Amino acid sequence: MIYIGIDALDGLLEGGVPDGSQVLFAIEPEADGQHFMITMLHTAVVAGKKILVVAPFTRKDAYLVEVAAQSRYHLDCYKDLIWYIDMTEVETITESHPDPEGRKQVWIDRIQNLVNQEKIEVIFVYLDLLSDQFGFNDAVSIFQTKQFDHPVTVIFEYFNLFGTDMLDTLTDETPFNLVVTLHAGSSVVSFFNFFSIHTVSWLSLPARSLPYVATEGHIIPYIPKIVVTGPPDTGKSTFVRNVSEAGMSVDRLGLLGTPTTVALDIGHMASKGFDINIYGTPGQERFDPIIPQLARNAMGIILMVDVTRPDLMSRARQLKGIVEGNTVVPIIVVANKADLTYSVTEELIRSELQIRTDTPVFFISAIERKQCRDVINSMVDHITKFSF
Amino acid sequence: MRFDREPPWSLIPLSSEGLLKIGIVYNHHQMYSYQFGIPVLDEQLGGLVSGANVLILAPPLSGAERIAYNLSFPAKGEYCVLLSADERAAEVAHYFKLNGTERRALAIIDAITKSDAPNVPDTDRMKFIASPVDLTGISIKMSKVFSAIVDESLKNPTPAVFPPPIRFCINSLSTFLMYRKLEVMYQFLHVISAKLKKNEWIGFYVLNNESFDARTISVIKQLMNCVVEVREGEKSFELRVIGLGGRMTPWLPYTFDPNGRLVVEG
Repeated sequence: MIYIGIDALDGLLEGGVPDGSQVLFAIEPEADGQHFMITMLHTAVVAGKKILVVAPFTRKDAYLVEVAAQSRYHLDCYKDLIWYIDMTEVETITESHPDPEGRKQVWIDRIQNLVNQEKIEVIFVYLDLLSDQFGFNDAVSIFQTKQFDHPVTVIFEYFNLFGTDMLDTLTDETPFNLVVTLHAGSSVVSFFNFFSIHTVSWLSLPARSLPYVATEGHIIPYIPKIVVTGPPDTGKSTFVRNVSEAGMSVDRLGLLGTPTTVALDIGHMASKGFDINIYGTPGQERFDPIIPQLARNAMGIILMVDVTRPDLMSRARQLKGIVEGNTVVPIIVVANKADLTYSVTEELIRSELQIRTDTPVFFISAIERKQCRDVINSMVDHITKFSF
Repeated sequence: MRFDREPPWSLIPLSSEGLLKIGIVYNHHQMYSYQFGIPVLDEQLGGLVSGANVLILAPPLSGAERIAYNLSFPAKGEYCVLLSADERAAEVAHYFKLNGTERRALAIIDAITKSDAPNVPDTDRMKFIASPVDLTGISIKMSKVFSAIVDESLKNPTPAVFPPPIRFCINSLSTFLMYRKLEVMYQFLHVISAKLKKNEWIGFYVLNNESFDARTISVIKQLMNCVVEVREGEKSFELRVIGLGGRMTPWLPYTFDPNGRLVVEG
C-alpha cells in the first residue's frame, strides 16, 4: 500500500493506493493541484520506497528548489532513494532520436532497465511533454507495469486543458486504477479548489467533489458547512460547543433560565482529515425566516430531537423541511438526552420525522464529547462516501 | 440602489462601502476601454475594446517584443501581467521602469531565468517557472498573480475600477510553440482568452511570422480579434493594425526612442 499522505483522501480510499496501481492526477487550469503528487512523492520517500521522478519540464536542481519552496519538502535529503529523468536527459533523447517510434522504444528500454536494476518501487511521471510527443495513451504505455520484474506503482500528473469529456475518452482507452481530478472554482479570479475522485478500481465510491485549501504546500480538504438544527432546548448549542475546537454562540437568557440561541452557533473542528465548520441554527419559530440562509449550501444536516419531549417531534419535522429546502443532502438524526429517562423510541422518530431507512438515528447525550464526535465522524462518512 | 445616470467607471469608490457597490456596478457598468498608448493608433482606431486579443505578427529583428511591451504599458490605474519566455524578468522590469511603469503595476511570470538560476525565489510580483514546457506551473502562478492584483485593488482606498484593468502579454508564443504541440497551445490560449474576456482584460501575443507554417499562424489567428502586422519597409520597419470591426490602418513606419518607447509616424 502506498499512502497519498493526505489523511482525508487516504481515508476515502480505505488506506491508500494498492501496490502496482496506476494513478492519474488530472489538473484543470488554475487549480492549485501540484501538491497532490508532491505530497505523495514525499510520503513514499519518507516510507523508504525507491523512487523515480520523470520531470521533462525542468532540471533536477530547479525541481528540488521548487518543491522546497512550494511544499517545504527537502527531497535533496533522500539522494539514495530518488532517481531523476529531467529535462537534460529528455532533450538528449529527443535530439538523438528524431523518429517518434524509435524514440519511444528508447524510452521504454531506459525506464525498464532503470526500474529493474535499481528495484524502483514507485514512478512519478509529469506526463505533459511525453503526451505531446507520443500521444496520451502511448506516453502512459511507456510505464506499463507488466514490463517490470517486480510490482511498481506509477503516478502520473497531467495538465488537463481539454475538460472532463476528453478525460473520460482518454481514461476509457487507458484505464487507471485511480483518477483524481483537480478543479478550480473561479469568478474574477480562482477562489477555491476542489478535487473529485473520477475513478477508483478497488472499491466503490460515489462521485463526490470536495473542496480543499493548499496552504504552504499542504492539502487540507474541508467541509464548509454542516448545519445542526432542531426544536428549542434540544441541546444544539451544547452539541456544537462540544464537538468544536473553537467556536462561539450568539445567545440570550431564555424563558427557562437557560441561554437560548438567537442567531447562530459556529464551531470549527477537524475530523477524518477534513476541516469542518459547523453551524447551529436557533430552534424557536420566530427565527425560521433566517434558517434557509444559514442552511444554504450545507453539505450535511444534523437534526436534533429531545428524547424526553415527544411533543416537539412535529416541530422537528417542520425544521427538517425548512433546512432541506429543495436540495438533497445527507441527514443524521441525533436523539439527545438519552442519559435521562425517556419515552421516544427510534420507531417513533422514524415515523414522525418521515426519514429514509438508511438515515441513521443516534441516541446520545450531547454533554458527552466523544458521542458528539462520533456523530460528526459518521456525518463525514455520509458526506464523502455514501450515496444519498 | 440605482443610479440616475450611469456613473463613469473611475468615479466609483471602492472603499468602505465599496464591496456592496461593486456588486451593483459590476452588473450594470459600461465597458472599460483601453488605449493603445500610441497617439497615431488611438486617433485612427479610438483604442481597444476590453476582452480583445491582439496578435503581433512580426519578422525577426523588428523589435516585436518592444512593440508588445509598449502596447502593454499600464495606463494609470491599470496593471500589466507579462509571461516571458524570451527575456529575463529583471530586464523586462527595467524596461518598464524606464518608461514610467510603477513597480506595483507590473507582474512578471518568467519561464527562462530558473533554468540557469534554480535558486531564484518567487516574489509578490515576479514568479519563476522552470521552463516554457511547464504550462501547469504557469497556469497556477498566473492565477496567483491575478488574485494578488484583484485582492490589492479591493484594498485600494482611492477610487478604482473593478475588476482592475489588466493588460496581459506573452513574449513570445514562438518560444512556447517550439516546446509544446500546437493543439495544446491553442487550448491553453483559448482558456486564457476566455478568462481575459470574462474580466474585460486584454491580451497581447507576439508571434514570429517567419518561423512557422501558414497553418500554425492561421490556427493562432482564430483566437485573435486584432492583428498588428509588421514588415520591413524601405527605410524602417512598418506596422499596421487590422481588425477591430474590419478597420485597418495604413502601413506606418516606426522607430524606438532611446528609452525604447515606440514612436509611430503617421
